[in-house]
Amino acid sequence: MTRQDIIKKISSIPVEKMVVVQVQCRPAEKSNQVLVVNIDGKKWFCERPKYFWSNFDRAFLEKPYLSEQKLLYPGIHEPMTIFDKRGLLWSREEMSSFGLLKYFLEHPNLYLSAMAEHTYDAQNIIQQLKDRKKIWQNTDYLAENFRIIHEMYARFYRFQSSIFMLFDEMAYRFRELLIKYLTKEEVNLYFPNFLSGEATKLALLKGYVAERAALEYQTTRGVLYAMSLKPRAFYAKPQFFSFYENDGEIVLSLLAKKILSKDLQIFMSYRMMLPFGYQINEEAQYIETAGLSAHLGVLMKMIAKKTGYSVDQLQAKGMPAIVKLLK
Amino acid sequence: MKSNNGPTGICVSSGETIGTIRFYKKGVAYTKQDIVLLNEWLTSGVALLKNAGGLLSSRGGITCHASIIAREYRIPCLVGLKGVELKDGQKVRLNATSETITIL
Repeated sequence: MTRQDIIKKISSIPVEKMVVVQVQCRPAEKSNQVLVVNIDGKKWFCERPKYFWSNFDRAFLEKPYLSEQKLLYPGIHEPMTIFDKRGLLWSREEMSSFGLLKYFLEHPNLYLSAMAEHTYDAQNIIQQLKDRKKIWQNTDYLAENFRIIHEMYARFYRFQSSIFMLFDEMAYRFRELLIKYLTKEEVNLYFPNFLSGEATKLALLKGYVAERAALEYQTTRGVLYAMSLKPRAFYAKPQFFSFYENDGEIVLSLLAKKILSKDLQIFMSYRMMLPFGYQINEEAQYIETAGLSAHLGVLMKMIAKKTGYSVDQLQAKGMPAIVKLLK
Repeated sequence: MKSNNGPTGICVSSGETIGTIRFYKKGVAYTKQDIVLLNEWLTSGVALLKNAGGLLSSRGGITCHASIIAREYRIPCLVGLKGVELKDGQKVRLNATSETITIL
């Protein structure tokens, strides 16, 4: 089936007729529902059924999703991620959080190398934002800045599913594995170590946490959803490896409880991936909001002023029309 | 004395504290003697509760940003509370590590 056939088929199914699966990794208020459809013998998942992406958003997101699929599954040429006509994002099982987790638990080295590549991209983006700070609001550079931020998004979202979709599931499943073998006290003195990082500490110190919290009440998502924030090139370098005081005790306790060899291997994969994954996820949310979205917001307001259209009208016109207007 | 040692919630930040249950009200300055019960589990609320002794909510999960903030503040905290009826002003022992709340 072609991409268009899949889009057409999924779009033709009314949401109320789709199978709804509840996931445990997110609480209800953060949308714990996943939509599932079966297309041509393959399951497709919509893990964020409350997020509707506009054509304008898709101009930023579609290419990176394709690139992520190519990087992770180079042998599969059929589309594995699509946006339906409603704007809902759909992934085939392999690119869903469940599929990605399964894949990375078997290949934690690939997760680390993907996240290391992302870290390199993130550092470049931050540097570029800093370098261009003085000319970001200069109308002579409007077209150039717009092209550059589009490229930044493409690089930033190269591992979009692996960063944003996967994390909740990964943390939840790791905790479940610990609960299977350890006492509550052991789990609760160990697990929280994994969800701590420099980006949060620094953001708290500088007051950016409260700034970002203003977005909590927004019900829609899109590349401009954080345009109300002050643009910032905020970054805290993630630590590739983290060590915790009670690592040794936990491993001994798992061995004393006769952990299955397969589970011990899974434990080691989580142990390697989760601390880095957490930091990347946190860092990515600051870059996505105050970094990219807020900077894009500044540009869109300037384009609106220059062309006489509102930001909403520009979004509705779409990316090619905006590029044309800027020429 | 009434005690509740059943499963009460999910620990997102470990530790133990004794204090008084306070139903969250915006703008109130809470202290280490207060265990604040929040109806909503939002970063904007939790970020202002750095000085609270403990945090509780029937909402939220382990990876919510509000939980991350509670952990950074090192405040004993349980989210997703179930089967516990707490009253404003009640004195309790919150053991987030063992996920129990004991009414004193």
